[in-house]
Amino acid sequence: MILLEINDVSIDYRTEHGTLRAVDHVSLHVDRGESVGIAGESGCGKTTLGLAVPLLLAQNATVATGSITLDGTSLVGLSEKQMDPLRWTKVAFVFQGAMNALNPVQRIDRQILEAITTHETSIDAGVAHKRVLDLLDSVGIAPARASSYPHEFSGGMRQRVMIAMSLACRPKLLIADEPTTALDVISQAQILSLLNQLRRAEDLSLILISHDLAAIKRVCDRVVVMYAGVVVESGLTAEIFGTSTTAPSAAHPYTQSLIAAHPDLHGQRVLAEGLSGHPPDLSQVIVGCRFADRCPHVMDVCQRVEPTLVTIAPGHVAACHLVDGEAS
Amino acid sequence: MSQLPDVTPPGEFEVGVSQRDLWSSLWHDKMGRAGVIVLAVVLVLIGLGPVLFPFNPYAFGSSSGSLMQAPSRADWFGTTELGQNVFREFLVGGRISLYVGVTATLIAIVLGAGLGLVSGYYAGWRDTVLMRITDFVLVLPTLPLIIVLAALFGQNVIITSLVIGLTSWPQTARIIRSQVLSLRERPLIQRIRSLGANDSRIMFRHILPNVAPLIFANLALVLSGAILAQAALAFLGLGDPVQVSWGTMLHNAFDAGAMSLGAWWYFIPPGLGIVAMTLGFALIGNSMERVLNPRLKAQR
Amino acid sequence: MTNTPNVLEVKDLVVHFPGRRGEVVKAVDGVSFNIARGEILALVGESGCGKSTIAMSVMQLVVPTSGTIITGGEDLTALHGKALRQARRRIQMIFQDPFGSLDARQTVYESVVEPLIIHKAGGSADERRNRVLEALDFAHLRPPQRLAAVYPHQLSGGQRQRVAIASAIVLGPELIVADEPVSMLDVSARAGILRLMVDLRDRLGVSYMFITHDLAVAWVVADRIAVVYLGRIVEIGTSEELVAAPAHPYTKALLAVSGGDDRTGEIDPVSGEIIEVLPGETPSAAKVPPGCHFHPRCPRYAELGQPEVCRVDDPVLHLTNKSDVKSQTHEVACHFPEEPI
Repeated sequence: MILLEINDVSIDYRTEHGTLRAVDHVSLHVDRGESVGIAGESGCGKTTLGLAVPLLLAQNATVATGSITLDGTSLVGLSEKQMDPLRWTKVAFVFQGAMNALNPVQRIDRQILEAITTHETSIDAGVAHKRVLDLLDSVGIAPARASSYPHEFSGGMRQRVMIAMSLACRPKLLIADEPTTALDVISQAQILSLLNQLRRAEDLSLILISHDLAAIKRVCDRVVVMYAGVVVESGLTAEIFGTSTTAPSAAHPYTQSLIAAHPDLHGQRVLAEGLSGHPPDLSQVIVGCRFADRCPHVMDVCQRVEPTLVTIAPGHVAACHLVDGEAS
Repeated sequence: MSQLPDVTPPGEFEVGVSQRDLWSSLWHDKMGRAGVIVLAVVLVLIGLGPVLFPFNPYAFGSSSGSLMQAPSRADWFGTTELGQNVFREFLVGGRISLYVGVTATLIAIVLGAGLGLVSGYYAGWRDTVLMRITDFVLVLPTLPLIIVLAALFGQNVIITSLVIGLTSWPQTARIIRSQVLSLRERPLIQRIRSLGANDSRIMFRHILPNVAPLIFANLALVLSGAILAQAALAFLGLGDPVQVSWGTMLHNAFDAGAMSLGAWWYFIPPGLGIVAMTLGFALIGNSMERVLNPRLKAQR
Repeated sequence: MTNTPNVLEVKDLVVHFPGRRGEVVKAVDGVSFNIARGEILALVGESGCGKSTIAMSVMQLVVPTSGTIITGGEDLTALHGKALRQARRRIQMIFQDPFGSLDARQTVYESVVEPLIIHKAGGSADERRNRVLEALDFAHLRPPQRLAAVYPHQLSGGQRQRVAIASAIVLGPELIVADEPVSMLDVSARAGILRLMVDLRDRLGVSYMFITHDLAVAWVVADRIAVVYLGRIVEIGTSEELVAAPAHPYTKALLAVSGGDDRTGEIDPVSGEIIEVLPGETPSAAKVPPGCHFHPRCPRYAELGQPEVCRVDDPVLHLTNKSDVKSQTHEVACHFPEEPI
């Protein structure tokens, strides 16, 4: 049952040097209770795409093509007044570095309470307060610590507070952008497993935006890999990244290099090749495959024709001439 | 090689804006452009004026008919109570205002930036001592001090410049100090220090170039303040009595009762001149602060 | 260059800072290790564990409270002025932030020639120019003549880090201290930098002290790994033996999480509780637990019924039981280390 449908969406930024298409005809969907990861490095458009759903794009950005439908409601083109009631209640967003966005001079429970009462204006004070304590409990923060100030918490705990706050109005969809950077590995594992638990408990749908494949492996059922504004591969996480017992079946060379860059402690102790060069300048016109100048398997056709997504296996698609039969 | 955007954007405030960018940003900023235009007009007048309009400096009025006359074809800005040509006085007087302004500012900036640099870089006890000295000078009442010093050491442009300069540096010192304090924590400085560079190399080769734009922005503001200070002193009669400046003109006009006589041509030009020069520098200084604003990442 | 077998010998390094409220922040609390010529040693730990402070102390950017740091036969903590500057030629540092560590107002050439100027080395201007171009070439910044003329903002993060590396090798150091050199770079750019570092070790014989929070990266790049927790080394050994048979419970936990094998968040079928790799969070260095720093979070401490020795005695690094007699490299600081297989 589809909760979020992003259909053929393109997002343009107006800059003083011209128009830059940060996201180019991207489609993806999230079912109820499902968690989808958007993997990629900086500049690939994943954050822009994530921000587009709750309509939190910058002033100079516009959704140029396509539609975004959340639970039956079409979101693109809604005014602030129409979108505002949907934020926090239908879809919540946890920003990168969100733990530093807490108000340093206000107690934690007050801040979460504020989130609730802003959106549910007629809620009873006692009910709201109980919900705050329940939320904090669900993220592992004891009621005794609820009235602390942010600086009394460590980074990991502040991140839990942000997650609790984002769930305050019981959204159906949570979008988390790099929720675990700046945390140590053990805290990262704790936060990610917390997201998993909350998912199961609340039947929450989740979009996890991250460059860290290990994080996506932990939490996401499906993954969408983006490069230079387009989707290059997508499918089940277990298939594409592999598990401890199965090898990765990633088809796109970019996905393969991403996987190689995360050394597998169970496998060979070998240093990956890495990629030279850098992603293309999106303000210029790009001919052919965007990854061509860095691809170890580049062919003639790659410089001329941009590959489109083709199905490789059920539920697994990739955009690459190596697999779409164009190489002839 | 490539003109790349950053792969991982640093998100840091770079004080390293190039000269050319500075001028073009200044021009594009409305205030900056206004300041540049106003200043250009004033500077051209006082620079070229006496050359283009060589009025006789010794032409004092002979008969009472040519004293305190309104503007006419012969005397564009009219005459003073001594029959002197006001326009000439105006053109020449601007030079002293500018001279004192610039000299005082140079003293203030060198002292202020120097102290700010040392204070911010070393921190510790040197910073504490220097900052207490700065605070002390900051709270000194400027005008009374200048009056006393002028009374003690006489009234000439050198003394005036010195005194204004020596009382204007604290503002610069504080601004530069806080910028240096944040720069010294940068990995760059740690790296250069770890290479074994000595303090003076770090301060002059790495920190100073990175605070230079900030010094320029501050310079413009200090300059406008210095010009006003000189004008105020001259108006109070503490300026150099021999040299004509706009402030002296106002002083003379006041003494001669120009205000009550309605001789507007005598005091409006110098007044406007002071305002224009001060405003021009202030607009440029303000604009430069905006141009160098931390939120403006030097994204090229 | 000197000919001692170790390029660096750190003994009993202690760095304590006064805290804001008068307490003592024990950033580094008794650390000893050596780095051999041509060796890459990784210091692995979470942020705040003291690994960066160790690096700063070795670079003499932070003055240690006590301990000795010996390179080229001299104790750096006892040197000052000219002698210290001379000694600095042997150890160079690379920082985490590729942009913040370069002077935005200097060209690449100026940044790389600076160490030569500071130390009045490299000969004439022409000879210096050649050395700079050579260093740029070593760092895979090609063609060096063209790249020498650009400014940092025109380069990618990976390229900037290469400039930092070039400026570090231009003096021919024995040891490079690299503090999280790839964590601010894109994933694709990381392998290139790591390969470069290993390549320079192979070609120039330079050693590395490689600081990272990522155990997997340390495993592929380093010869030996030292695991740091709250200012102490809890385990040290070759990368292979440490990962194959970790002896310290903290290393075990790190390894499990880094390998994705931990079952954090899952429900334990026996106890019915949610599995945690390690309970709680790392305490701050201002409130270090007595005895073994790790005991409040240690699964073995809990399993063994909270033995008093863990609360009272600081465990000292000692060889593990299963180290093979010849190599003698795997040490652990634990009263009850993992039994050998």
